[in-house]
Amino acid sequence: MNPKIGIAIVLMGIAIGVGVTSFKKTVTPYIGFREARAASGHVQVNGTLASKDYVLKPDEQYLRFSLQDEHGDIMPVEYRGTIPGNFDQAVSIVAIGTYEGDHFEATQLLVKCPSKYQTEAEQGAAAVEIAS
Amino acid sequence: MTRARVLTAGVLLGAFALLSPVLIQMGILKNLGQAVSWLAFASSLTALLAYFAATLDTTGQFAAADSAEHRRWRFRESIGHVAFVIQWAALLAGAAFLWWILFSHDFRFQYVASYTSTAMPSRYVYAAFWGGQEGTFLLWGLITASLALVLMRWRHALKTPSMFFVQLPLLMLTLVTVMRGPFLMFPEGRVPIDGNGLNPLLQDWWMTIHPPILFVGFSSFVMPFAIACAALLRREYDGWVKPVMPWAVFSAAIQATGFIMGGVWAYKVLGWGGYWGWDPVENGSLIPWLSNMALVHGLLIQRVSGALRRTNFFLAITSYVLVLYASFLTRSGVLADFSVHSFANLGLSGFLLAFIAIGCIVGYGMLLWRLRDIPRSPEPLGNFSRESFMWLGQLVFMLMGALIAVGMSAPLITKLFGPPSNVQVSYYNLVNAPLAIAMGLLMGIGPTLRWRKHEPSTLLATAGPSLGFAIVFSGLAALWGVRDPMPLAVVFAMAFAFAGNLVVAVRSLRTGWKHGVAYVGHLGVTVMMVGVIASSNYGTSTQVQLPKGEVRNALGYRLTYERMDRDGEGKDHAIIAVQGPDRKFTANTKFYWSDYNQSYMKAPHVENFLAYDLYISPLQMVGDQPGAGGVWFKKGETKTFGSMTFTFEDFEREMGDKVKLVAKVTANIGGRTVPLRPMLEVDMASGAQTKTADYIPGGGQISIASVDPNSGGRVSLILPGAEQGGEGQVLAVEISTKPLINLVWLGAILMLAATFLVMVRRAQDVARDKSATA
Repeated sequence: MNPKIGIAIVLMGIAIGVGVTSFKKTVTPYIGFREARAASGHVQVNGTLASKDYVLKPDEQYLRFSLQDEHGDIMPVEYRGTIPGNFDQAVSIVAIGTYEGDHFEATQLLVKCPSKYQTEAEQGAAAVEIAS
Repeated sequence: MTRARVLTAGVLLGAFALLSPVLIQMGILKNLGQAVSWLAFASSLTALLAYFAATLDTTGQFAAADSAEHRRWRFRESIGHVAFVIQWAALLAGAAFLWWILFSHDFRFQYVASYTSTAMPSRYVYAAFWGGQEGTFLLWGLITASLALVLMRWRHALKTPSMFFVQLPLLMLTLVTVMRGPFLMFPEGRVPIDGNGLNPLLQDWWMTIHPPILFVGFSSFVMPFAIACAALLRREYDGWVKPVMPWAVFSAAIQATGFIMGGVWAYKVLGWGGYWGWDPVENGSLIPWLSNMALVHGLLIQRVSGALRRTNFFLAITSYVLVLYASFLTRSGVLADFSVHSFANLGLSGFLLAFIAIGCIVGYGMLLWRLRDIPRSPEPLGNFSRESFMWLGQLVFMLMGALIAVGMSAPLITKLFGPPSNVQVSYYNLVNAPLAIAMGLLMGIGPTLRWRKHEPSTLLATAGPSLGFAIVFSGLAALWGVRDPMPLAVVFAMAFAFAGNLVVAVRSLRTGWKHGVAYVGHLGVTVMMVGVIASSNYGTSTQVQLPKGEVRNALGYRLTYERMDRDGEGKDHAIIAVQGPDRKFTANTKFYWSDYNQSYMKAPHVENFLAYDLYISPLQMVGDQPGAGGVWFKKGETKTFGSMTFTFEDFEREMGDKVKLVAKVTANIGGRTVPLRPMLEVDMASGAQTKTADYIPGGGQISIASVDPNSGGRVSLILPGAEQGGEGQVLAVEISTKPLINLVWLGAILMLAATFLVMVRRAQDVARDKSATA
C-alpha cells in the first residue's frame, strides 16, 4: 500500500480514537444528586445554598457548604480554588466535579446572583415613600 | 455603459429619496431606517433575479460582442449591477442612520435604548452598532456587499454566476434586517428617558475594533463559496483556482486577525488569565479558519498537480457553511447555558436554520450535481513530494476542525441521548495535542521537498539537521522545566518545523520576497505554539489577601494594596504598589460594581517583562456591600472630596405615572458654586427605575446610588474621587506569571504579516493574468 495513504489512515485513526476517549472523559452531564452519588466521572449538579452556615477559609482557598436541589435533597460540597464573589447571595450554584464517598468535590463553581429586580423593587418603594 | 449604470442607479436612488418621506408621512414606513432596509431588500431581490437571468444566458454571454444576444445578456447583467449598487448604498445608508440615532441618543428606537445610555462615554457609542444581534446582521450584510463590490470589478467569465451566488446570502441578510432590524420603535408614550447602556465588558478599545474585523472575516468566506459554486455551474473545475486564491488567503488573514485580537482582549481586559478559552464563540471563529486553511493548501496542490478538485470544492463550500453553523450556535440561544458570551435568544433560530439549510442545499447540491463530471486527477500524488505532505497537512487541518466542531456541538449531540452536557475545556487540549505534533512534523518536512518528485533520499538528507535542532531544543526545554510528555512532544515537533522552514525561508527569500513569505508564516506558527505551551502550562500562580496598607509577599514580589481610585467614567481602580527583585511599579487593576451586569467587573494589570508577564488580577473585596458604592448624605450635610465640596439640600419630588425624585446638590468646585441635579425615576406601573446622572463641570458625574426615607430622608450619591468602603478592606488578588508570552504575540504577528503578504502575491498573480489577456 501507498505509505502516504497509510499515514493518513493512522492519523485519522489516532484522531478518532483520541476524540472519542477525550469526549467520554470530559463530558459533564447535568444530573440530579442521586445520580451524582452513583456516578464515577465528572458531573455537573445545580442547586441552592441550603443554609448560611458554610465554612470559608479565604487564606487556604477552601469552601465547604451544603447544596440543596429542587426536591430538598441536600449534599455537602467541598471546593478548593478561587472563591466566587457574592457566593452567599447566589440564587443558583452550579458545581462541576466528582462525588467522593461522603461529599461532592467541586473543581469549578458557577454562581448566579440575584437579578436586579428585587433590589430595584425595594429602591422604588423607598423613592415613592420620600416623594409622597 | 458604466456611465449609464451609474446614472440609472443615481436616478433610482434620487426617486427613493423623494418617495420615502412621503411614505413615512403616510405612516406606511416608520422611519428612514426602515425605509432603507426595505429598499435594500427590494434591490437585493431584483439583483438576485437579474443575476439569475444573466447567469442562465450563457449563449448571450459568450456570443460576439456586438451581437444582439450579447447585448441582451449585458442588459440583464447591468440590471443586476445597478440593483446591487443600490442595495449596497441602502445598507450603507442604514448603517449611517443607525450611527446617527445612536449618537443622538434617540431613545424612541428600541435598539438605541437597549445598548446605549446618556451616561455612557461617547467614544464607545459607535461600538453599540454591533452591541446587539440586530445591528450585527446589518453589519454582516454591509460588509458582504462591500466585498462583492470588489468582485464586481473582476473581469472574468465566472463573475456573473459568482455575483448570483453572493446575492443569495445577501438576500437572507437584507431580509432579516427588514424583519428584525435595529430600527424598531417604541409605541408613542412608552419612550424611555434613558437607555440601558452597553455592557461594560464591551466598553473597551479592543472590543470596539475586534468584532467588526471578525465580521469582515466571517463575511469574506462567502467569496470562495460563491466562486466555487459558479465554477461548478460553469464546469470550470480548474479555472477557479487562481482567481479564488487571493480571496481564500484574505479570509485566512483577516479571520486570524479577528480572533487573535479577541485573544489579546481576553488576556488584557477580561482577565480570564489566558488568551484562549475554547469558548463556543472562539471555536466558532476558529473552525471556518481551519477549513479555509485546508482549502488554501489544497488549492496549491491542485494548481501544481491537478489533484483534489472535489476536495477543494467541498472545503470552499464547507467553510461558509461552518460560518453559518457557528452563527447559529452562538446566536440562536441553544448554547445559552454553556457559553460566557453568546448573544441572547432573539427568536431567530428558525431564520438561522433556514440560512444554514440554503447554504447547504445550494453548495452541496451543486457539488453533488457535478460530482461525477469532475475529472479525476491526471497523475497520482507522489509519495515523497511536497504535495503529498501538504495533502496530509490538509487532512490534519480538517481533523482539527472536525474534533473542535464535535466538542462545540456537545450540548446538541448529547441532547439526542439524554440531558444536554458539555465537554470540559481539557477536551480541546487533549484532542489537539496529537494533531499539533503531526502538523509540526509534516510542516517540517513538506516545504523542504520539491513539487512532483519522488525522492525519499532528499527527505532523509533535509530532515537530518532539523531533527538535530529539534532534539537539542527540546532537550533545553526539558531542562527548563517542560517534562510532561505531550507538551514536550509538541515543542519537539515545533522546533523540527522551525528548523526546516527557516532553511527554506532563507533560501527562497534570496530569490524574492514572494517565494519565501509563506514559510515565514510557518515560522510564526511554530514560534506562537512554543509560546502557547510555555505560557499556558508552565507559569506559577498564587492567591494572596492584601489588607489595605500592609505588605504581603507573593512569587518573590512585595505587594501593597494602597487605595481605590475612581476614574472619570465612574469606574474604580484598585491601586497596588509592587516591589520586585528588578523592578518597582504600580499595578492599576480595574475593580468596579456594574449595575448593568449586577456583578463586579475586573480587569487585570499586566506587567510586561522580556521573558514573562506578571499578571495581577483582582478577585474580590472582602467585607463590602455590593451595589452600594455611594456616600450617604443627610439633608443639609456637606462633605469634601479632594478639591470639591458637595452639599445635599433637599429632594425635589414629582408624582404621577412616574415618580420623579431629584436630589438638589450644590457643589463647590475651585471657588465656583454649581447646582447639580441627579435624578431617580420610578415607573409606577412596572416598578422599573431609571437613574439619570448629572455632569460635573471639569469632568466626572454625579448620580444617585440609593435613597432612604428614614432619618428625614437620606440620599447615597456616587461621586468622583469619593473613596468608598474605608478601613478594614482586604483585596484578594491572583498573581501569576505567563512565561514566554511575548513569543505568542511575536509568532502571531509573523503569521498575520506573512498571510497578508501571501494575499498580495496571489492578487498580483491574478492582476498579471488579466493584463496578459487584455
